[in-house]
Amino acid sequence: MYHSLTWMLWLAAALLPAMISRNPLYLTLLLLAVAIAYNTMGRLSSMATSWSVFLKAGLVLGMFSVVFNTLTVHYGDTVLLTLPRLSLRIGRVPFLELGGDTTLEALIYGLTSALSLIAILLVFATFNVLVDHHKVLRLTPAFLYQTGMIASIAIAFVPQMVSSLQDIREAQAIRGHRFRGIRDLLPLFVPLLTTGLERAIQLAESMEARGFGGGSRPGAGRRQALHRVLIAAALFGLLVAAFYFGYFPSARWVSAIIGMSSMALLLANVLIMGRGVKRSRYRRELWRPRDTLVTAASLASILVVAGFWLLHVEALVFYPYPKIAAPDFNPLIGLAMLSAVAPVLAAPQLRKPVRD
Amino acid sequence: MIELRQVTYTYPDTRTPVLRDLSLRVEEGEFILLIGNSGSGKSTLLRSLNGLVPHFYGGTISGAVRVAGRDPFALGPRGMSQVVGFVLQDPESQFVVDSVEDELAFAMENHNLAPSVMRKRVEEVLDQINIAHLRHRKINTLSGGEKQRVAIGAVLTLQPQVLVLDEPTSQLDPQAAEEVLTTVQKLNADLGLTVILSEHRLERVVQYADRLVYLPGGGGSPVIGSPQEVLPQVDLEPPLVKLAKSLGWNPLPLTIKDGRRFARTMNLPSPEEHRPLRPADTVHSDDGVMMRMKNVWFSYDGQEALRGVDLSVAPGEFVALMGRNGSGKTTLLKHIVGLLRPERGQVELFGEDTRSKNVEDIARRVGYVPQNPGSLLFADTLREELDFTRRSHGLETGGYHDLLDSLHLSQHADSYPRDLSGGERQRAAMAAVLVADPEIILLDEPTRGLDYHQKRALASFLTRKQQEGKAIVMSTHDVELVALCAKRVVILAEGQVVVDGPARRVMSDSMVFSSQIGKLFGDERFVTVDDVLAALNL
Repeated sequence: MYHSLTWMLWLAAALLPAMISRNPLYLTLLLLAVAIAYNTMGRLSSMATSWSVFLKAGLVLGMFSVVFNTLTVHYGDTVLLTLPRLSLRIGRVPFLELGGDTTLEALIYGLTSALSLIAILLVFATFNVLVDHHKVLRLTPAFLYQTGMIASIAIAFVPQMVSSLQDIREAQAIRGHRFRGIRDLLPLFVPLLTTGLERAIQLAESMEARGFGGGSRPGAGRRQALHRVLIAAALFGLLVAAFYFGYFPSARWVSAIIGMSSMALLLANVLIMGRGVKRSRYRRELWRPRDTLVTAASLASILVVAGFWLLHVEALVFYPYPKIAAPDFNPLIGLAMLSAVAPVLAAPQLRKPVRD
Repeated sequence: MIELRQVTYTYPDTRTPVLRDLSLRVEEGEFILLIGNSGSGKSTLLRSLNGLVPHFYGGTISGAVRVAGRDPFALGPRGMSQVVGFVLQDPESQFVVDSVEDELAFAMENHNLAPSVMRKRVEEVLDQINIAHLRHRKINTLSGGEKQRVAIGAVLTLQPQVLVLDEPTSQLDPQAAEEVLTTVQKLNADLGLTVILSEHRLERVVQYADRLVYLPGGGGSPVIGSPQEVLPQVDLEPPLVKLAKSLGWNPLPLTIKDGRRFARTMNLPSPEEHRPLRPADTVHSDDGVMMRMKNVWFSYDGQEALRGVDLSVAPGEFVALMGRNGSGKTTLLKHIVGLLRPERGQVELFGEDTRSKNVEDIARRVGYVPQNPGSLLFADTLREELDFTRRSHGLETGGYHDLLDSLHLSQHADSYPRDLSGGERQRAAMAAVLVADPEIILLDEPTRGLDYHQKRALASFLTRKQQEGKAIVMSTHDVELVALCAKRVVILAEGQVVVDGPARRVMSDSMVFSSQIGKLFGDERFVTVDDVLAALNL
């Protein structure tokens, strides 16, 4: 229903605040928007069952975060109750203090972290439900098409292997095979491996017989090597940006500049290398006006969130210590959170099952 | 169109060549049927036409091959892909992407064709092989026959001049095989595409072929000519041809229609004069029953697979389970060994409900040979394989000399099971199950990929087991095998038993579930070649 690129940007726009904001108001708004997107569009998808798995995982992780934070963090002025203390030590060094003063601030901070975790998981879950994986794989840059192809084959291979493992298990069980220890894996593992290999060889034959694997321009070896070096440099730059931010969280500008320029280098290389591959594409996804609308909303949201992060990060982060106060609310950021419902608003009609 | 000159090829790590001094010429637009026993080099010959041999497999090759003026040894499979379309036997393992239309485009994408050309060719191919209604489907939702047709379509988009198919129907049921072969035949007739196809079940294709190429194996020189010329010289023969050869019918009939012309002139004894003496076809005494199913229902995720099946099997019975794919044959077999338990109704084994027993106990008395021998074999030697089964069942190891002998496997006792040929592997898997001496033997499609000799050997082995008092239940599509050895036929449709009766009567009543000889005479006394010859005292 939307172009895969549209969905990728939507993912980026929703993921960014979920990861960097710690404000319960924004996170709640984001969760609400994502839930609406899933409810109106995702429920009709064949992948819909996976959503509840993500939701459960999010709730469990979130619960853990709340309990852990409340029991181990003792800052904050509003003491709710005092539990018996328990100190865990390695040698003489204490590394964890359980119990003691339990504060409302720690509880709230745990809840906010839990919200952020759940938001990240649900954004992924919704993306997973709404997007067609094969279409996304087709977006792999042209020079990486072999990698994309391998990923796509692997996706198809897994269910086949699962069903042949089932056959093997049954056949061996009737032959008297019992599972008692590691050695008993052999009668399952060897047939699985060999049938998998036989299948892989047939597939490889079939692909070669249809001309797969050729197609790169002869004599382009040296230029390719240069591109590879540049790509490695760009990836290294991204790594540096991430580490720099990790050590000097306040120097956001520096890491942002290193990160952005590395990203630009990476994209430029990918585009240039893609031109060297002699391979055409049968499918071109259609870019519709509604894709432009949703993309504009996603970009605006990214711009707002990233802008605040660079210029005024306090607006995104809610810090309850030492004494709890109501979190700030900036309507502009609130609006950015709501951009996650843009795909619903721009969609033509949703009553019939969506097949695109 | 195709020319092979003195081609000799040896696979890596082997000493004897598979092909020796092979020469062959194929004209444009011919339909060539390649036949030969398992391991005679059919697949190797086919793969030399597009360079998979030697480029993919290595080994040493000499001689020359030209296909449409090009040299596959020099160009390799990629270079040949626009000249030779290559289709493999297993419909499950030759697809790259998930949807039909994308699969058709894959080869063209590899060759960097313009999008407008691709669109046009996809439309053409969809119509040529009549799969336009499947274009948006996911490949894993297709039936076997549909998958093979898509595989053919996926090579046709490059507009090759030669279509090479390596046993394209060996994994399919008869209806699906028919579907695929008619498609190939139509491509040959309408587009003038040169077709080279290998196949074990000659009766399916021989009438379409312009010429037959018989590879004797062991590097011997091939026999080439029209079906009427080649078939009298070789021992691979469909039952109709075998009968015709025994009775000296000339010209050799290839279809039932041709055969009837001769059959009408025959002087077969009337039922009063000739009533063959043979043991009763079915045993229906209630006391000796080994397995009894009463009103068994079963469904997978709400999809009903068995709907009220009643069936009982007594010692010394030989039951063939027939019916379309998805009619419930395998589900029924799995109920007998307790891998599945009925949702409603019950399965009794030796007088006890299977619900009260675990698979372990049942497996001591019931043996199950799965469709794919590859799911069983894992050990380093066949001997270890058999010992493993005996140990697992708490039996002493050894003592299987006679079994190996009767399956013609004695000389392979110390071979690596996976190095055996297709037919030998099938027998090795059977030995690995039967070495525990089960009282009920279950077989799931035992003849996939077997040639006529192997099939006849299997039939006589199973008949011997039956005479020892074992009960055999075999699911199969192979009517000729059923005619050779089964005594009772049960036909399933949509999870219900629709026919249950003596094999001969069922086969002479039915047009689909009948052997060639059965179709020829429509008389329950004659379903195999031997029946007819015996009646004529030959």
